[in-house]
Amino acid sequence: MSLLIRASALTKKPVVTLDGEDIAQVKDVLYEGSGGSVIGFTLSGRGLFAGPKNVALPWSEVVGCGRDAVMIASDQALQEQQDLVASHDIGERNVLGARLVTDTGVDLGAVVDVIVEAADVADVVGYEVEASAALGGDARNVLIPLPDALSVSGEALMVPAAALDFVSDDLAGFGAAVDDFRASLRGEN
Amino acid sequence: MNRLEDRTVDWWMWILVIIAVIVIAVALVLVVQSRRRSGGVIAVSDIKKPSDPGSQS
Amino acid sequence: MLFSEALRRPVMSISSATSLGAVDGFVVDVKRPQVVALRLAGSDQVIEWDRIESFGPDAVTVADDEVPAEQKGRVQALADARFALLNKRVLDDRGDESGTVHDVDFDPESGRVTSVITSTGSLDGDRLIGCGPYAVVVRAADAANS
Repeated sequence: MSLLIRASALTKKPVVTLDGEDIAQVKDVLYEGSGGSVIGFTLSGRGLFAGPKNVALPWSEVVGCGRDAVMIASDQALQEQQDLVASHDIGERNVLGARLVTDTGVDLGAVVDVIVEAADVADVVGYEVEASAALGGDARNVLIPLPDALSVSGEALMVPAAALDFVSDDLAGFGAAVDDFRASLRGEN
Repeated sequence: MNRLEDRTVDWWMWILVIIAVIVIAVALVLVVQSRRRSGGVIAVSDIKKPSDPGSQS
Repeated sequence: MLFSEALRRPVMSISSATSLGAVDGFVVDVKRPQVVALRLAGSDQVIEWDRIESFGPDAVTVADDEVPAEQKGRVQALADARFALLNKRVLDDRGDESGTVHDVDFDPESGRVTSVITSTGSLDGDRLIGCGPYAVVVRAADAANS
């Protein structure tokens, strides 16, 4: 069983231990640029004056990731942030706002959100973009499926042009669109 | 006359100081909050985990 | 018996036949899950479950036996208001919320928590995992069946 979630829905979610204590909240979602697997979350404190924390939460320690909270066994699950990810990556490689470009050189628009498939292993499976002229450009957001292997830099994200045949407007049908897209890529190879 | 003018300046100074303090306090809260709220999605290039799948060919 | 039914019931001492106060709250150890003490109105003092002789329809009767110190300490730790169940949000181990705790059903003989009544339904006491300042954590519905 898997669940498609927008990354923006994960950020700000409380991180709660099974003992019922909210020890942090999600700040950033970290994923592996080439493979798309979610590595974990950076965290910030819960209070009004609480800033970012030095500890991060690896995805492997997440017990449950639902509508209202990210559940962990205990505060032992948290790791020093520098053990999980190099600090220079954070802040420089935020994909929100980056341009999404096809391998044929068509600018699809700016990435406004990232779609995560959450299961035992979490994967980035799609980008939500503010559609550019190439996609109709009537100021709506569309979801673009991603192949298994991704290409990401600080300035732009690359997708195969074939992804355009599997675009959806909402999350409801998007899981199937991702599967179809990836199946078609495998078929071509 | 001169002395009266000096006092007027002092009086305005205090108002400015109080306003400045309030502005700094509000700015501090806003900075902390914005640092906290700015959630992003970050593509990481080098994972510092021993279990690196090594997906680059 | 529900917490709401047992509230305001007088607590009587058997030896002196005097009232020690009225029941004002419950201290629950969710790990067992068990009512471990009663709170008395207008007092910080708690009545440990082991001291309760019977949970009668009109009064709770207590003997005057002293409770061992180490057990007292554990009850005191749980008596912190941060661990109270009532009105706290219910969160399952998948991270989904399902209302808040409205009432708790317990066995007046043993003190065992049999079920928790929430704003969206009721759930088995065995599904309780933990209770902290933020939420009462329960096992998700499907996982409990398997």
